[in-house]
Amino acid sequence: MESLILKRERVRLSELAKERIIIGIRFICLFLFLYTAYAKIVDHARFYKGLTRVHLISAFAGFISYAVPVIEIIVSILLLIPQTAKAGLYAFTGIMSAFTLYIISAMLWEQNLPCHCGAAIEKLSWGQHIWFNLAFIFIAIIALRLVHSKYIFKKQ
Amino acid sequence: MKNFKQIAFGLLVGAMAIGFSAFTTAKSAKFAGAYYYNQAAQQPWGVTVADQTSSHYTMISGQTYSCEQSSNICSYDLVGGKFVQNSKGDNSLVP
Repeated sequence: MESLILKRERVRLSELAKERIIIGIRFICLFLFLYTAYAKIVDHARFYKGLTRVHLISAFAGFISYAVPVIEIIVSILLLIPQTAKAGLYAFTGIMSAFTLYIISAMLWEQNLPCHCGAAIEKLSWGQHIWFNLAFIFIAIIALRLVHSKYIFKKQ
Repeated sequence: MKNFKQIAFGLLVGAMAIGFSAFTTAKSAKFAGAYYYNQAAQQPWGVTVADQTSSHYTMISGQTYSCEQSSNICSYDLVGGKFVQNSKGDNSLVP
């Protein structure tokens, strides 16, 4: 029992380390969303065309083609501002989870899948794409846990 | 001051993201961009003026070059908002 407590003590991060990890994850998430949002805006016609080919969402393709990059930019702004970073991380996790669920459902029901996720990310296969998204969801959850632990620490 | 530094660094990261995106998007449009298949009016290889009605085109996989010189089936790039016949091909039919 004693050795277990000592082990837990060893992996405890300092406040500065937590702060730095949170900032690093925030900026990685911000980079991803701005990177893909820019590609979707610049090549909007292509993004829209691709969405119209997916039967699940083709009826809302016009709306989605504008909504997705706008939401990505809004979440990036939330991640950028320290006061709204927590909300940004929650939004990022939620949106990435929604994207992942969409990919999984599209893989199940669509035969010819177009990927218009933006720029170099389109080079990934659908399986790789799911793992890529899950990795980002995972790091965002880590950041949220660290934010939460910092908050509890401050309260004590 | 600490927050200001964070925002400044965040803006730098954002600018890098946009710059990197512009770089990779431009590259993909040139070498492996979108390929469209014209269903409504199949145009022969080497047309000088391609059909510009976007509803006549269907998007196909961006990973394969699909042009066949001897057939009326070919793929197109959307370059600067205009459909241009793709100059590359591997002699396989458009799926």
